[in-house]
Amino acid sequence: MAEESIIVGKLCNNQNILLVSSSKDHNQVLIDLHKAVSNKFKGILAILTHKSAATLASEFKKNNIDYSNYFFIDFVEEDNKPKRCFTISSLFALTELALKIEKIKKMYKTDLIILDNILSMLIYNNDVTVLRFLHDMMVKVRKKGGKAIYSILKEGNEKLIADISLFADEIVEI
Amino acid sequence: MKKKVLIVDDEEDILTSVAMLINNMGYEAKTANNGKKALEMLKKQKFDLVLLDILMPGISGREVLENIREYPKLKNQKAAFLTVVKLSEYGRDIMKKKLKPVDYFQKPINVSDFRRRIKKILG
Repeated sequence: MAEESIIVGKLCNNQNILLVSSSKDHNQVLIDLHKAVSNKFKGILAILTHKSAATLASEFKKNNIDYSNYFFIDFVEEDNKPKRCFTISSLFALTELALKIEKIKKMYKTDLIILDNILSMLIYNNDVTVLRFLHDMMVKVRKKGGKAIYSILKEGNEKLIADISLFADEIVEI
Repeated sequence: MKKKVLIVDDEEDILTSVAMLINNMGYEAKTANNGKKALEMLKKQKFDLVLLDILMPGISGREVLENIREYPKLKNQKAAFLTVVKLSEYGRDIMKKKLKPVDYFQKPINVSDFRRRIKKILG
């Protein structure tokens, strides 16, 4: 949990943080992160590329995380969605995702975005497309205010991490 | 002899327009549309300056410059970035410490500013 507090501390001075973790620890790192930030922001937008919002909501319940201030974007059509969940047609649809983020930010008070995770986006898009998407997202966050955390798995992604490092405000490796 | 500039970008329009600018300034422009080709050209001939895009498919501009710095014959090669990417302070720091570009040009280019800075680099 101490490491997640470091991220919260880093969020005071930085707007765009790249969170690098090993695949072994990734899920727990993200749960601990949500625990650490859930009551510190007015509105949190969780973008889920590798699991459904329903799955995350059940993990929140299991871990006693209050998610009443959460909004979700996922890519899975299912019935038991939590409230305030928006579904995007496909991970190919990065423009649709960008527009949906804009719309949610405009309509509701969200001051933190957590994107989990970058790697799944690479299954559907090439690395330059993903880098351009992330760059544009970071520029928008910087321009319009707010904070964002982008998670990525460490293993095998050194090149991508080094490229993202050029436009992220801080890299936190756990 | 004219000073030579290598322009590396995956967008043909950028290559053409920047090459035209460089040629009009009295320098000789050569182009490469990917990082691999750029590295091959750099190993074969001498360039006074390399202008690199950052986000390119395959080998990115950052990797090209990393390769340049690691290659003994090229480690003092003058290189600048020409990119749409808005670097963060963190990114600028990494650049300065590791990659040592001589300049950083933001796309879209301001032509008069571009000319002035290129002249300053090439003399």
